[in-house]
Amino acid sequence: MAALLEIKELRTYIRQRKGEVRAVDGVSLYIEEGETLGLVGESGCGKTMTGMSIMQLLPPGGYIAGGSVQIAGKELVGLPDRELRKVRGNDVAVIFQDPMTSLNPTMTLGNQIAEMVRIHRDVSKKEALDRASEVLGLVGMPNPRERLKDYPHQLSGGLRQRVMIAMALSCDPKLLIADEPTTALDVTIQLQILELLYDLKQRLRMAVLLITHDMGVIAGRADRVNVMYAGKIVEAAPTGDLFESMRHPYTEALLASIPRLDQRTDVPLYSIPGLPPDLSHPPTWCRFQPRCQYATAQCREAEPELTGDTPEHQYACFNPVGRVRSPSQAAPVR
Amino acid sequence: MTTTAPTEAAANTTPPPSEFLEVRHLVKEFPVTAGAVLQRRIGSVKAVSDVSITISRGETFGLVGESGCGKTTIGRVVVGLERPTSGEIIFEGQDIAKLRGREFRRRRRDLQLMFQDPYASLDPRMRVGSIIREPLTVQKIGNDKERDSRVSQLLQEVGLSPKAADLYPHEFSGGQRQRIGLARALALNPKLIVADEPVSALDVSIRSQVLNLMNNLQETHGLTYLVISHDLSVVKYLSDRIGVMYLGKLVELAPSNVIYDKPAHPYTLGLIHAIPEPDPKRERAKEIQPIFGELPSALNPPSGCRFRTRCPRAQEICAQEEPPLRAFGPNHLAACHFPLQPVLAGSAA
Repeated sequence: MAALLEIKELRTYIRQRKGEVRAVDGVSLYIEEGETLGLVGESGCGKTMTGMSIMQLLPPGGYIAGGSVQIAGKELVGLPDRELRKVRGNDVAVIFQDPMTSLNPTMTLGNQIAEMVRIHRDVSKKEALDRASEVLGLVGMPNPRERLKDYPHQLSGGLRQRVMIAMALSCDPKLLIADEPTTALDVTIQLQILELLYDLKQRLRMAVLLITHDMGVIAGRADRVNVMYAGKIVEAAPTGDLFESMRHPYTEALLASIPRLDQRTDVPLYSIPGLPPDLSHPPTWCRFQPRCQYATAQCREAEPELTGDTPEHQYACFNPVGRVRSPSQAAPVR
Repeated sequence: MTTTAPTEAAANTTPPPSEFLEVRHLVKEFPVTAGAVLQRRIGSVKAVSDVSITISRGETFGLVGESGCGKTTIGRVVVGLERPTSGEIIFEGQDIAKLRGREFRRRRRDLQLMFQDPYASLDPRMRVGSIIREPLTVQKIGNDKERDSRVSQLLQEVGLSPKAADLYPHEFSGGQRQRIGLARALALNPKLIVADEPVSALDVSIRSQVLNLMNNLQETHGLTYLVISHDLSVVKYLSDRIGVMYLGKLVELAPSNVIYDKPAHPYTLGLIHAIPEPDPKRERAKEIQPIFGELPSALNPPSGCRFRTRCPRAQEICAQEEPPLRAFGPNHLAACHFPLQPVLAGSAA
């Protein structure tokens, strides 16, 4: 079973004046060909840094302190920049959260997409522009030919995100990293973009790493889900299993604290007390322990490893949630 | 507090003063200008066009809609940050849109705003204590000592330590900052708090803390909330009644469980369907009928029904005639020619 993407014990740190932040602290995950993996967690949990570590597009001070990232068996960590550039945009493409700031405002859409095609493919300007209009059509842009001469400011947020997706698709990537692709969009447009991504994934047999904070977005689109907390993966499972029989208390608490449309409004929402730990000095025991309602003395002694009854469903917890307990029965904290 | 010279119109239309807040035929236009220097006026955007809502004392009213639908503008007009182009804002029997000067400032004590962005809405160079004290200073309430004790009392009410008063906003997390914003809004003992996207900028686990706090404070202080959000699940959790807006118009108004169980307007149904639910089975079983297309320009809204360009049920009449609000049940209004629910007999408003 050769996975398309295989990350092992990845550690990505960010050097700052006050010390080092361990944004990603020993993450292992894999994505099979044509599969959608959801990576979910709250801000600062390291989900974006994990995605960006694959492409090695790290912020100033960020570096990979250890571990390995392999795409189709090829090791990316330690690869010289010249070699990496062949991978970025070609084997792996990214779409970012904010379509308003990710496009170059001074270039036409056609030139932006064609530029990318010509970096990776030996084609003429005209062929590259043809490819640009082809991918724009693929993402459902009306009149793609005419749109080539438009500038980003002439488009709405939803259409700009379509352009970002078109650009990402232009070189037939094997893996698409979608980092909060719909967070900046209105709900009706969000649905359109999610449907589009799902449809493209099916048609192009592309693997997708869907990074989001929204459990709802994950629920309908991902084949498997990895939940991150404080730089570590705390639970990994097929989507159905995760929602029905979550084992990690953090996953349970996260799901219980989302107001649902059919929620009873007279019962207080479950809320997780406290805050995530400071990742410049992470604790050496369970990172969720101070906020966990099931924590015992053991949880302050050692850090739980990812284990589980099956290789598909893994969790890092000494006192996992039982299968029968549902989130609504969890005792509200305040 | 009687107004000395009530205008003719006000005298004719003032109803029994039972309603706490009444927004009547509110219109707010913003000018659109061109040119760097001359700023010629080339048109206007009707951010809110002819919206009427009433809010009762102690209730939570939710306004929901997508960007540009005018929900935030309504909130700003209600607290007096914007003047309406036309229409009335009757608060406890008094049209606050017509108040000026000292009277206006006095009235504003009762109406406070809680902002969306906990990072941008607190002055980074002021200590938390001064931020919460400022409304008291501006309104000249109490002396220094009384203000200090009020600040620590407020901090405790929103679940922070009184020691927080000596710290700066950057020392707090997003959820804690939103608590500080809430403490500031509570400082003047307001009757109505307009909460504009109160939890949108917060993480899920922190979000529920703030939502629960808002509910608790409502009970202990007898507050009335106007909650504004793009997120129907948040609005539904907090609100008793919900108004759905689209391009400056109120398209549906109903008790919050009715909005979810029996939406009458196709846009409301589309919004409900568009919300991704954290439940894979339901999410995958959904018969999705996504709202297609993009939001039309507010500068030049579609004729007739504004939603018709994206509506799966639209027919010819929708382009010609603007649908009136009709009743579909008790407290349930919607503006649609081809609604999803039967119209209540004898209703044409």
